[in-house]
Amino acid sequence: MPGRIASSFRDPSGHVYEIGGRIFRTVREPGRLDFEFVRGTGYLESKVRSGQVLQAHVVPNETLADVAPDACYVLEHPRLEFVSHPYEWSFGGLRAAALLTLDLHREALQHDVSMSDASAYNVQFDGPHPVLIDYLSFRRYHDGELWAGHRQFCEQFLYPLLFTAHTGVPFNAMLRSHLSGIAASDLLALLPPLRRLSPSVLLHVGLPARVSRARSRSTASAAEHLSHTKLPKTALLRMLEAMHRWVGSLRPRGQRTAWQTYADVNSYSEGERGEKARFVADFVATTRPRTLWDLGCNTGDYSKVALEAGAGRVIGFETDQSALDAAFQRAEREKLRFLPLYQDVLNPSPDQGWRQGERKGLQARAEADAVLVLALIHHIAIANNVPLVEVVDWAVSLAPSGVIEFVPKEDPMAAALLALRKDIFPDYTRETFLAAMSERATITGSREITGTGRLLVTFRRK
Amino acid sequence: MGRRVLVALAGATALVLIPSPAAAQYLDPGASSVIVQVIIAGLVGVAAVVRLYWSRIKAFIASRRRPSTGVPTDQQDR
Repeated sequence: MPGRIASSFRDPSGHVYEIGGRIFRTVREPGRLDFEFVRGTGYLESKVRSGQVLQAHVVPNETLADVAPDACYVLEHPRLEFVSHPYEWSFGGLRAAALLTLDLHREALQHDVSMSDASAYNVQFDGPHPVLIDYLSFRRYHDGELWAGHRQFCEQFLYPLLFTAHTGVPFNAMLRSHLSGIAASDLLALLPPLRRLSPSVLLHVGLPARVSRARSRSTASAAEHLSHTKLPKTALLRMLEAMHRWVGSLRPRGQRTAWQTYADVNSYSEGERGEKARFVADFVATTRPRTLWDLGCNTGDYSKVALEAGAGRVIGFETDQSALDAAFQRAEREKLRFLPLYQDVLNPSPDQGWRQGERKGLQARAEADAVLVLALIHHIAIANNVPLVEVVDWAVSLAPSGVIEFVPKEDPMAAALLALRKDIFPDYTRETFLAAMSERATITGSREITGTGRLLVTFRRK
Repeated sequence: MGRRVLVALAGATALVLIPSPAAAQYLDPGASSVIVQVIIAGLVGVAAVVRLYWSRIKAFIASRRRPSTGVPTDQQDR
């Protein structure tokens, strides 16, 4: 479908289009009455004002006459600077998105509005603040109806959170493989035995796992019969409230990791750290990037420096779950327009989903104005054997300008990576680094910041 | 818990509820979700009934305990 966003096909009530860099949402006949009802309540406008729902305004239908002639209404949304996927979120991010979904549903019911789904993909982030982007999730509430999105909420929000809360293993890899979410039976098999016995887990995980395993005709017909049962509004509200309390109480299980304490134990002195921060701040103040990527952001020290120096927003990438969560909490606490995301640069998010177009990979979303690659390239080149020239090529491909830090073998942090292995990296030198940089970009500034020879370089891509 | 028990439990809780036509949705809620929600509806219903009659239940329990306290018995009279 020309212009239609590849992930917008599930709900016949409407679709999302990208035309000339603008984002439109159609309302089609199956969703028209619901849209008109919800609009009449004024509920969404109040949620747009509070920043919990993405802004939208009605534009003339002729705007999309070529691609969507059957549209009853056409809405225009502001374009999102960066679309992130739930499998890239931190624990705190997924939890915040889950709580937003429950809050919106609870409040909507006061206006006789309900939500037809509970997809984590309907939530995006502005800094650390979750925002619901799907207007057509909101429908007229019919007295006694069941919560249609209950299973989706469990599979895409509750189960991944429970998995990490009870095992200490990040949910990201699992959620990346299972785009529709984690199955109840998979989660049940992975939970520690004692955890399976709590009443909430028995009801929301154990029972669904049991029923889905049964798959018999009698179960299906019982469910079909029961689906005609009325769920009183008070019961639905209680269920949403109980779920809210439960989700809000979940914390990732586990200890502080090496990376979370990195800022305290790295090989810089206080003065050197200050010098690095000044170099980054000078770069940002000169280039004024609207969106800046911070690769290997750790807990967000330099993301914060960049924001204070005038960056519009920062998207951070980090593999360590504890550092990532600390970064997310910092962004929330200090009200930073900073979104730290899970991303392994050695195996970044791929294009995936239906026809491999539904969820875009990282490279396809590389639209940053600038990039920070600080204290990272030795991990890619030495710890993972990627040739240094390729690392430089990749870093320069991400944004038109940026700051890259070269960490020589003599530095204690790089030396530690070589302590137990043979040095097979004769080309890992400052000279190779600078030559590779000069081939691809103009080096606009450089500064050696440690006695061991750590070098910061700013570049502008050729 | 056997499957029959689950279905019976869900069926039993459904007895306290009134049937209504299912709302048209694009998502399949799944058999498990329907059964879980019906059980929750039942539990909430039972909790509401218990709350409604809580004072009567308390009074009933108190009245069952009363004979053993305070009231003089035949033995004490002697």
